[in-house]
Formats: sequence, structure tokens, C-alpha cells
Amino acid sequence: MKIRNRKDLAQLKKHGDEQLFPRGVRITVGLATCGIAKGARDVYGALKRELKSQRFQAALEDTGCNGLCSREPIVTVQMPGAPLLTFADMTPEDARALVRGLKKGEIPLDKILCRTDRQEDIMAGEMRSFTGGKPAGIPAGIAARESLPFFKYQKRIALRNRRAGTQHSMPKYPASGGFPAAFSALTGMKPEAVIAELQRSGLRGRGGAGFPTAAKWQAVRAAKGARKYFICNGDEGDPGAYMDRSLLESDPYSVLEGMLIGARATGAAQGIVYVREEYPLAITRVTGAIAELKKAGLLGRRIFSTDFNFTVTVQRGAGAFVCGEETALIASLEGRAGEPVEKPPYPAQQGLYGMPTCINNVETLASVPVILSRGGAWYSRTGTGKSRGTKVFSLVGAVDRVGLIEVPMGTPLEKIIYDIGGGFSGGRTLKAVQTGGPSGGCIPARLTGLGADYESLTAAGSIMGSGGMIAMDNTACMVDVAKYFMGFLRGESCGKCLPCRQGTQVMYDILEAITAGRGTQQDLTRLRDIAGALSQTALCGLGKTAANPVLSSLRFFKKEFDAHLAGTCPAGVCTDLIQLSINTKKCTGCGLCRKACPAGAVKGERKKAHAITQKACIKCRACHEACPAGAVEIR
Amino acid sequence: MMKAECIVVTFNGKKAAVRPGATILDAARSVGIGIPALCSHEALSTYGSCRLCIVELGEQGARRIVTSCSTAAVQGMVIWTDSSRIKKLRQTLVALLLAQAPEAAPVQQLAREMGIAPAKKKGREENGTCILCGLCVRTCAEIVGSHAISFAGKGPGRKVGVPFFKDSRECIGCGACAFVCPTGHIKISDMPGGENPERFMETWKTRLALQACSSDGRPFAPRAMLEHFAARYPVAEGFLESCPLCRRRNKKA
Amino acid sequence: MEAEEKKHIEASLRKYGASERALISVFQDIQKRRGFLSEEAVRTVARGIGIPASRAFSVAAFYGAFSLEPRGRNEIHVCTGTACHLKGADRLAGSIARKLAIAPGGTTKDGRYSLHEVRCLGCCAIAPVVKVNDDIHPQAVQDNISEILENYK
Repeated sequence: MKIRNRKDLAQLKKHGDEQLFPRGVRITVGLATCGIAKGARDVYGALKRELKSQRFQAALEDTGCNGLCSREPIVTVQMPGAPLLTFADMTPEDARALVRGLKKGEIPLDKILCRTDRQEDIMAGEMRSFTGGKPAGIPAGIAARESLPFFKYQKRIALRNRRAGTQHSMPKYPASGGFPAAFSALTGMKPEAVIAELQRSGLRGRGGAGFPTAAKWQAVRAAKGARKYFICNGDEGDPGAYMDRSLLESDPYSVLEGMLIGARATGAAQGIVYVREEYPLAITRVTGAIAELKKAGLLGRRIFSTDFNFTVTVQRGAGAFVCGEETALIASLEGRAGEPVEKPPYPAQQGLYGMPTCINNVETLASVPVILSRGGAWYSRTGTGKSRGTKVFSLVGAVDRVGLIEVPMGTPLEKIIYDIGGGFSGGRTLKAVQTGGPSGGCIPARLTGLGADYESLTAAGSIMGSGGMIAMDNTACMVDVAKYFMGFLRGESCGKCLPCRQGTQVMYDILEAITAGRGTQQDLTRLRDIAGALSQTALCGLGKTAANPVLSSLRFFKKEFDAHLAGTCPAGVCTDLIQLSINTKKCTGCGLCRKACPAGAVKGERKKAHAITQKACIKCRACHEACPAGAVEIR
Repeated sequence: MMKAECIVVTFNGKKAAVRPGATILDAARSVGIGIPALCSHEALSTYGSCRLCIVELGEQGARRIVTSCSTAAVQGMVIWTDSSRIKKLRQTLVALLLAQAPEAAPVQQLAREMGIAPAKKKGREENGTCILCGLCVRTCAEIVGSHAISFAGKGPGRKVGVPFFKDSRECIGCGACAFVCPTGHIKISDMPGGENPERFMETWKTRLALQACSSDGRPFAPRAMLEHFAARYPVAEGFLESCPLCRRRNKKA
Repeated sequence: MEAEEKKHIEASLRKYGASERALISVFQDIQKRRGFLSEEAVRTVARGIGIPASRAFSVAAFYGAFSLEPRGRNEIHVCTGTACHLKGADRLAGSIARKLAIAPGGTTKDGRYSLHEVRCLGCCAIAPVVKVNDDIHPQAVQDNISEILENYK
């Protein structure tokens, strides 16, 4: 159906409401990339088959990822009048048991995660209740979702639509509050008023640079040009960061609505979503959403019966991290190699094909509709200092609860790591938190009282970055981490300017020498010299920030560098500085290490203690992985 | 005598009158101030890759660094071409360049001037003298119009070459690339003897047939080059069939 | 170049427009269909768009998504994101390289496998990750990788 006015929108919303709150049972399975990788498709298939064979009526749908990545596959069961039930770590066997249970009216609880009685509809600013009437025999004692530490401290603005499964069915998007913001922006508000609302919100670019979004929109609006372009930068390249992938896969309409509003504010008629080619599901989902919007008349000509035209196309990246940089992204769209160019001129004045161009990050755009719905003043009440609103982080690494989270700006890192992330089981402790990807740095454990906001992280020698937050325990070597990021940048440097092309190479060579036990104090001086040249003379942001990881490691973990210069790797990581040996007291003689060893370096007879021949050992640690008794030690 | 349309900038504390619209690099050179720059050329577009031409702009405490080849001089600009900060940065840059191209003469020269120790020869012999300035690429594209060579690859593995690094179909063997190359990296050798006289563009792995002079029979230029010029410039019939020596001789006759 | 392939390229040029801005999209179609960009393919596209072959070659050689040489039937991508690195991704890549007797970036003699290191796939919760063709394998370790690879003919 075509959506031309409020009435059409209301009808679409009603359609979606019926899907989100059906009269019967609704079962969902999270089918985003991680869920699929962990077998969610098999769970879905098992549910489908069992529902059929049990002749149990239920709407079965796939939804996006809800952020609790460590517990995929995730299934929810919604029964009229009953709280929503969420199940985690589901297997096909669990799926079959669940359906059988539903049929009998006794739900199996061994995989239950939580119940949700009410959920915040953040667009409308009200609570939506699942219950009402007789709760259908839900046993007591199931944890409420809001009480779970993972969810308790989050404030989901960009991640608001996780449960809805909007990525497949467009009606569910307005049922979750989508489109009235775009409708206002296009019909009720002048572009200046839209920008003013963004200004009030204090929203800053979520891709890492943190530039005020309203200022960027204003600059593009004021720029002179025959045509203007609006680009969504989905070239999320920071290793360990997947906020944008998740948004594009699980809620593409929120990003597109943000683009619609931004295009209206800036005067752009052509939009492009630039997505990494390594994110095929995101590309499929956003392409599908664009097609649906076109069909509904929400993209194309005369949107909402106004004279506003806006079309959006999708462009796949071609495997170059540097194309996340604005001018390199533009070069790529123009069919050239992704070599950045000097700024000024800025894309706002001279961007794609020389025309004024606005480039915004995925998360920034996903937040825009909420800002317009609830007001900029509302958004700015969350946050701290100059960092207003919320930020989505991908909390990964050594924490127990790895996942995608959204918290108010300024939330202390330790709250994120210990309360939300669940800290570290098995006697491990935090060593450092890495933020900002290859442009960022490591915050040592003793400083995790810091708030997650732009200024605090920059002052500590890191940056906010796009949202990757990597928790490292004592098994991480900070010199190895510095080498890792330098290796990454060396491989991704476009090669145009000398300081980045050669600087990353030479710094990598030095770090490699240090991790091999061949480093000298002079090497540390050279690292600092080259770091200075990079930050002050490199042509683009990639080069300018390339030395940050090394500098921050040197600042907070100098002792580890000194240990490597003296020939040891305290964390037991650097291959040339470690030795693997078998603790004869723990060894059970099972021989799995001998079988796993590719170099024939493990000798031993069955049921007798095994031993490693150091000369033959290539330190691949296959034995360490294979040993069930923890008898292989790394020194 | 100051021309009416000069602008005034300050170089290292001294005022200077320079042509409006000039880059800081050209403006500095016009008043006798030398700034090292390896990838810029007055006849070619700006590239900005070597970063050696950096200068500081502005007053103490609020100075920023720009590349002088790509920044226009504007009225009132305060420019520092040789501050201790710039000197230190240039030194580090030259050391990096030396690590990349240890046998490149201009780099060795700069290193000597800055007191940098000669680099230990490292692997990567192929690029031992190529500084990736791109002058050859831009010359072939902008002046000659053959577009035979381009940059290939990212990062430290970047190279200049012809498509797929073999037998170019576009190279005309004019040698303009070798002429503009500041380090002598580009090698050309002529094999005029035998039945098939040819020019070997060694660095581009391309062989071109040499045209024999219609007057004295000696091979003098690649056929492709002569055809390229004949197609672009109005020359008299048969003009390009003789070598320059014979052309002069025939004229006098 | 086979007439069939030429037709495909012409179709791509029509789909995206035969101008320089379409270059990467056209190359992406060819890469997907043939698994690499041959010299003839690059030259055909350059001709079709009206740009110098060297400029098209620059683009083909710049982007990691394009291969200038044929790849194996099954493409193994070891994720080298930070979370995967901390869980031993480079040891895993080394183990696969040893097992298949190829270096990262290489292809086995029988054309069955190519091995690549790929930038973060964004599946950090299930690190270390190995992607073979379109399948993402969670928690891949030296122990189970042979079994995983066996399934790909």
C-alpha cells in the first residue's frame, strides 16, 4: 500500500500492531549473522517442523539480534495476556521441547532467560504492557528482564527495535513507532527547525570523530551546489566493532528514516548507503528495506505528497578500511582508488562529484527519528558534559557477557565491564579496555572509573571511536596488541603519503623486533619520533591516529615493553619469548597433545607423562589447546 | 619594484611580496627560500605524498602544519619554513624515505644535509630507488597523454607499473617518465642492432619496435611514439619518417 | 574472452551505467561471477567505460575484494578482528596454512582452497571465527578446523 498521509500511516501501523501483538501465540528466533552462525537456522527449522507436527497454531518469525550475543540462539514466546518469555542458548532439541510444552500448557524452563511484562516504547515515551488479563500459567521465579544486569543499565535508543523483527516486515516499523518523525520533518517542520532540534539534542557523530551532527547538516544546507548528496557511512572497519552491522541487519528502517530526515534538512535528493562488502546480510536487509519503502512511496518522488524527492541506492565497499574516511569513501563512489585527499575543502562544500555532501554514521542516523519524536531537549537530558545521549558499544573480548549494548554517555567503564558485561569468571582479572579501534588506545584497569564519553576517553589517550570496546585480561600482551594494531594499519594504509606508508611499516618492524626479543631502548625512541611525524604530517585521519595504540601502550604499560626488551613476555603470548612444557604431575598420558602437534615435537607413551622437545617445537600451541588436563604450560 | 597585485606574507619573521594565487612552495622559492619537495613539479598537478615541503602557519602556541605545495599563500599569512619543529619532522620523514629507497640519490643527499646516518640496505631491492613520488605517473597521464603507468596496491607494497606488470599496450617508449624521475629509477635501454631493433623499457617490462630512419636506415625512435605524435600534432607529410639528424641535413639540401 | 563473459560485462555496464563511477560495481559483479579479475576483463571494462586501462588496473589492484588471480573453489577467511586475534586467530591461520601447504593469500595446487585473512566480520561473540564461502564457523580452533574444511569439496 502507498503511504501518502497520516491516515495511511495509521493504517500501516495498525497492520504492524496486529503482527507484533497477534491474537495467538508469536514465537521469534533471532536470525542475524551471529545467531545463524550458532545454529539459529536449525532452531527455526525445528520449531517450524514441530509446530506443524503438533498442530500448534503460532506465528513463527525471525527477528534481529537483541544484543545478548553470548547466549545465541535466542527464542521468544509471546502469548496473549502473558509476559514475553525469552529463552537463550537454544538447540533444535530445546525447540522441539518448547513446542511440545506449549501444546500441553507447561513451558519447559531449563533454557529460560527472563520475562518481560512491560517494555518501553521509546518513540512514544510510554510503557507497553504484554500482560493484561489472566497470565497464561507462567510459573513464578523467572527473572524480570529489567532486573538482569545485562539489560538493567542499558538505555536503548538506537537499539530500540530489537524485538520487533522490523527488518523483514515494514508494517512492524511504524508499529514500533517509526515514520511519524519523518512525516513531521517532511510536512510539518521547516528544514531549519529540524536542524534546530538536532542542535538541541547535542548529537555528535557516532562514527568516531564526534562532530556535531546539527553543524554538519547546517553546513551542507548552506553550501551551494546543483545537487546535494546524503551518504550513510556503513563502512564500519574497526576490528571488534559491529554496532553498525547489527543496526543495518536488524533495523534498517531506522537508519533509512534518519536519512530521510537528514536529506530533508540538508536539501539532498540522492542518498547512498555505503556498506562493507564483508556484511552480506546487512546489504541484503537494507536493500530489501529500500525496495519496500519505494513500493510504499516513502522513497522516490513526492514523498508524503510533498514536493520532496529522495532516492537511495546501496553501494558495496570493496575491502578497504581506509574507505571509512570521508574523502576516501567519496573516491570509491567515484570509481577511483580509496586515496583520501586533503581537507579543506570538506565534503560538506565539495564532496561527491564536487557537490555538497553530508556523510553520517549508521548509529547517528538511527538515533535521529527518536530525537525528532521525543525532542532534542529530551535526548540531551541523558549523557554528560559535551557528550549527550547514548552510545552503542560492542563489548567483546574477555568478559563473560559479550554483546551489543547501549548506555548513556558517561557511564563508567567499570559499570559496563563488570555490571553489564558480567566481569571475568574463572579467577581472571581485567588488564585493559581498548576503545577506538586502530585510532584508539588501551585504558588500564586502574582507570576504569572513567566515564565512556568523548572527552574523558580522549584525555586518557584513547578515543571514543565507533564503539568497539575490547576487554582484555592477563592473557593479553600489550606489546602484542600494539603490534597487532600497527600491522592492521600497515595493511590498510592507502600508500599515498610517506609518513603513513613507511611509518606504519617501520613501526611494525620495530614492534616485531621487540616481540621477538630483539628490541632496544633506542627502538622506543624511534617509535616516538615516528609517532610524532605521523600525527603531525600524515595526510588523513588514518595516518594521523595510527600511532595512538602504541603510544597508549607505552604510556600505561611501559613495564611490559621493558620486560620484552629484557627478553620475556609476561603474558606468555609472544611466540619467540615463550616456551611450552608439560607439567608431568598433571599429565595423564592421553596423547592428545602428541596427535595435535604438527611438528612432531611431543614425545610420550600412552598413560605415561609426555614431554616437548624444545628444538622441534614451533610454538603453535596446538598441544595447549588439545590438552584436557591443562597440563601444557606456557612460560 | 612591487607590482600592483602582490600580496604580502611573512616568511620566518620577514615580510615578503609574492604573486597572489601562488602556492606557499612557489612563493617561498620566488624569494629565494628553499623548501625540499620531491613529489611536486610546476608542470604537473599537485600530489602531496612526500610531505617534505611541510611548513608551519600562524603564531606561537597556535601553529598548524600544512604541505606548502598544496596550500595557497594568502595575504597576511605567517609562515615558518625552518622552525625546529619542522626540521625535526623533516628529519624523521627523510629517515623513513631512506628506509624505503636507500639508494635514491636525492634522498641520500637530503639525509647527508640533515645528518642522518646512511640506511642499512634492506630487502625489497626492486624499489631501492623508487620514492613513489608519482611524477612519472602524472607525466605520462597529463603531459604525454598515454596513461601507460599507474600506482598499484596499498600501503608499503605499493608499486608503479603498467597494467598487470607486463608488456604494456599503451606505453609509447618516449622516456618522459625517465626524464622526470628524480632518482634515476626508471631504466631504458635501446637495442638498435639486428633485424628487430627495439627499445626496452626495463622498468615497465615493455619492448617497443624502433623505427628506422628512411634516409640513413638507422633506428632512432619507437614507432609507437612517432605515431602518437603524428596523431596529436600537425606535422608535415613524412616529417616523422626521418631521424632529427637527417631531417636537418635534408632541410639544408 | 568468451562471448558469454563479454555479454555479462556489457550487461553490468548497462545496469550501472558505463561511466567511471560504475567501475567498482562492475568489477564486483565480475569478481563474484569468475572469482578474479583477469587482464582481459579489466581491459574490456576500461574500454567500455572509456578510461585508460592503467586507471582501471589501479582500482583492481587497490581493493582487497578483488583478486587478480584465480582463487580456489572454497575460500577460507580467517577473521583477524581484535577479539579473534586475542583468541589466537594468527595461530589458527598458521595451522591452516601448514595443513594446506599454502601461505595466506595463496591457493592450493588442486584449486580446492584459498586462504585469506579477512578484517573483522563483527562476530566477536563467537570468536575465533572462520568463514568458508558463505558459512560462518563459530569458535574455530586448531582442533576442529580440519573437520570443518573437509566438508567443503
